[in-house]
Amino acid sequence: MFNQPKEDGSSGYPYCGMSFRLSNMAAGNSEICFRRGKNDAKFFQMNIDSGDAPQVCGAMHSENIFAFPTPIPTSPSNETVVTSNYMMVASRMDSFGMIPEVSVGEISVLTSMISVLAAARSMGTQIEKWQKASNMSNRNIFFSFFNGESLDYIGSGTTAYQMEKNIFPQKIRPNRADRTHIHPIHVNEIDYILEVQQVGVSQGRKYYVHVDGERYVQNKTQTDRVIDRIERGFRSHGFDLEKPISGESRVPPSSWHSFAKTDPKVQSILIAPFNEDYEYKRINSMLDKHKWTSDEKEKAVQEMEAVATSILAASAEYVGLEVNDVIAKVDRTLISTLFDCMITSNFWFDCDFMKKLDGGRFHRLFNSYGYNEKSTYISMETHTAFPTVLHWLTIFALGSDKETLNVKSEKSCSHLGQFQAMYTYTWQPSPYTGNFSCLKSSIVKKVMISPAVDPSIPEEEMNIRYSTWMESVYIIESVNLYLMEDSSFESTMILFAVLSALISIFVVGRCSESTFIIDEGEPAAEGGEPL
Amino acid sequence: MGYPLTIACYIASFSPAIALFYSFIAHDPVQIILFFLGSFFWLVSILFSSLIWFGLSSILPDTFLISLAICIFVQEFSRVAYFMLGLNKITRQGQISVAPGVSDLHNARHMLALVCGLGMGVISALFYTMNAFAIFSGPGTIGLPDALETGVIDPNRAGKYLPLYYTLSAFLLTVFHVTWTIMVWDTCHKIKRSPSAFIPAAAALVSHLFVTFLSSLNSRGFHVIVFSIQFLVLLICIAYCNVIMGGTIGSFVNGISQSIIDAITLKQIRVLIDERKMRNQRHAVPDEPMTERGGVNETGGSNSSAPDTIDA
Repeated sequence: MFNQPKEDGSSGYPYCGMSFRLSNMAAGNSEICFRRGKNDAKFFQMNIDSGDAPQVCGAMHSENIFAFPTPIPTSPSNETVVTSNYMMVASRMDSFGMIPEVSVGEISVLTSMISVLAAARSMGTQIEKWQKASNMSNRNIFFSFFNGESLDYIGSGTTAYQMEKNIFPQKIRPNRADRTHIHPIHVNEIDYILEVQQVGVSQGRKYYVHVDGERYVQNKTQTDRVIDRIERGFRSHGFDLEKPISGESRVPPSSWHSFAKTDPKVQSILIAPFNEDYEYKRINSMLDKHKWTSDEKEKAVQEMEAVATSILAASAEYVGLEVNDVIAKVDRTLISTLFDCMITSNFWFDCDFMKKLDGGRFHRLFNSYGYNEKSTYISMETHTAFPTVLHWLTIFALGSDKETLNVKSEKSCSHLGQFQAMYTYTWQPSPYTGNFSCLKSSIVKKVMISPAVDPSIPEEEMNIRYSTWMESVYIIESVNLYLMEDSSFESTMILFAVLSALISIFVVGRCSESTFIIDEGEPAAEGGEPL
Repeated sequence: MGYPLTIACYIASFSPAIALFYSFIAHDPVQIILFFLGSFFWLVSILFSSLIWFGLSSILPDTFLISLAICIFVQEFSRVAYFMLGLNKITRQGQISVAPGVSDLHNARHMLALVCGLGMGVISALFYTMNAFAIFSGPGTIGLPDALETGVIDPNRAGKYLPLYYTLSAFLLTVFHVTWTIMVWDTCHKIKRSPSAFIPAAAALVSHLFVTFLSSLNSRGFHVIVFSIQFLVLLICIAYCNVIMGGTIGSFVNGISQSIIDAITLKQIRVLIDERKMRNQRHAVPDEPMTERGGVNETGGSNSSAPDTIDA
């Protein structure tokens, strides 16, 4: 209704304005914030009865999501030998803006995420073929949705740190040495990080692939084959792929850099609609939200479909699976549905697809103010529902109920997950039918906090290799909405006031008391008539 | 713009009232009291109107028009009640002790009507404008809650001219109350003696109803037409008051045209210049007593520098 941009890009009066007071509980820099956020620094603010100390300032933290279509190799004990190679298909899941609650991140986050989800769903429907190819080639694909990437790559930095320490995806527990453990993925096992960014806003029908020149020449043959598959994937949907690759080429800001700092071999394949400069200027902004026309939406859906096909083609090439129409087939309807649900809708669970996927779980879990904002901001207190939404969508994409058809209750489904670490069993409804089933998947939602500010690893405290973004707890008070009109007439009003005063003086100055006092005849007054 | 806009609005709205107050009321304590008593009577009338509206709104679904009409009747009744207080008696010769600084109100019933009507007009204009002007001092303007409720922006809104329309309304309201009080009190004064004495009061009531009805059309976007008609009605009311006070339509038209001519030819400035010239000429005439003192000095020779200083 208000503040809508016109066709020429301007927005006309009246505006809807807002004023508010924002109180920060702590201020300064990250170091001060970190110090004040510690429990021993909040002794005097502690509630004596409950022992709770209020949150004042702390590290940004949320959850990364990792999905493994092919199960990670297991080790009978706590061995950490290198056994596999991986291609990580990555996308970010956070954005931010001046007002944290208003950071939708349509292009920063959602379109890329939908592309990756569509690829994952396609893989999930053909999972046996992918698993077979992976087992034969000993090469695996896994999907990573990193959180906190807009704040100096917290999610990928944390993951790189965990891989470096051999605690990804799970820490091996020495006191459980008798059990089978998931083999830790070390960063040197990662061959490629295939990341997609800013899908849906290409100029014309052209995309770019970005690699690191120095690393590219070390493994040129295989990388060229993967890039060739990506190009074919784009061409099958009428898009061109430009490859500005040379020994000097560098990778734009992306999650790959976090891993590149740790390992000298890991290669980047970044698919994006920009070359050397960002074409889209609203990345990580509260303005990253569109009014999509039907043509714009159609083109964005085509781009997402092309990107998803390219991901599948590159992944198939990597694991040694023959690329054909079945393997690289992407569900266009799913992309269009997710576009409507994640981008067009005002909230994550407004559309029928997401309502069925929710199945009444969301409001039961998170019926609070913070969780009802459509935001991808991570914050210090993890108060958006987006990680949960994406987790459920990933389970839908890669989960399978073929082996659990006999499971008829949530309780028995949860029992299946006990005493093993390989799979998760989730009692989740189908977004198409709304019927609950027990979905088996290998998906992990890991809490991520930057190693630089993680209190559990004090030796890394304020290590500038990792993100040191902190957040002071803030309270927004005295919110006022008001209408703002064009103020161009206000100067005229001052002139009008001066003129009005002068005219009043002039007019009243011509009158005197005699103007209003009229002697209508003394005799009449004497006779009783007051005059 | 904030506070400068609010101050400008107040100046534009109340400059006629301030000029009238300064010229005719401020010098007289009794008239100041009567001015504020007029304001009080208007406030009481609004209190009763609101009580009636409150009662009606619990019975009827839409009480806007009927409440408005009742409010106008109660206001006019309050004017009559003010008159009945006995103000007419103090206009008799010798009925009030004329203390220093207090005007003799003999033959001044129209002056009293002006004073009391101005009190009513000022308080009603203040009531009408002060919330809006307070909002103008901030970053926004009025109108958002309604837009949020209806889901559409009112296409007939005044937009950036809203402060101007509020100012003009306040100005009109103030002067209208003066004219209505003069009319109603003239009827009250003559009601027992002349069968046609009700005409001024009826004119006041009709014009009050008509002007209020016109104001309600502002919400449909007819601001310019409404204000044009209201100004015309005000001119008619002023002309009628002039007739009540012993003038004629001809003298009223002549007065206005003469005022316009004087304003165009800057008569007041010319008069001021002429007066200054006259004063300077008077000062230029040799002062006889000084001459005499000069003679004394000349003869006495006690202070030879004094005449030079005075001459200089």
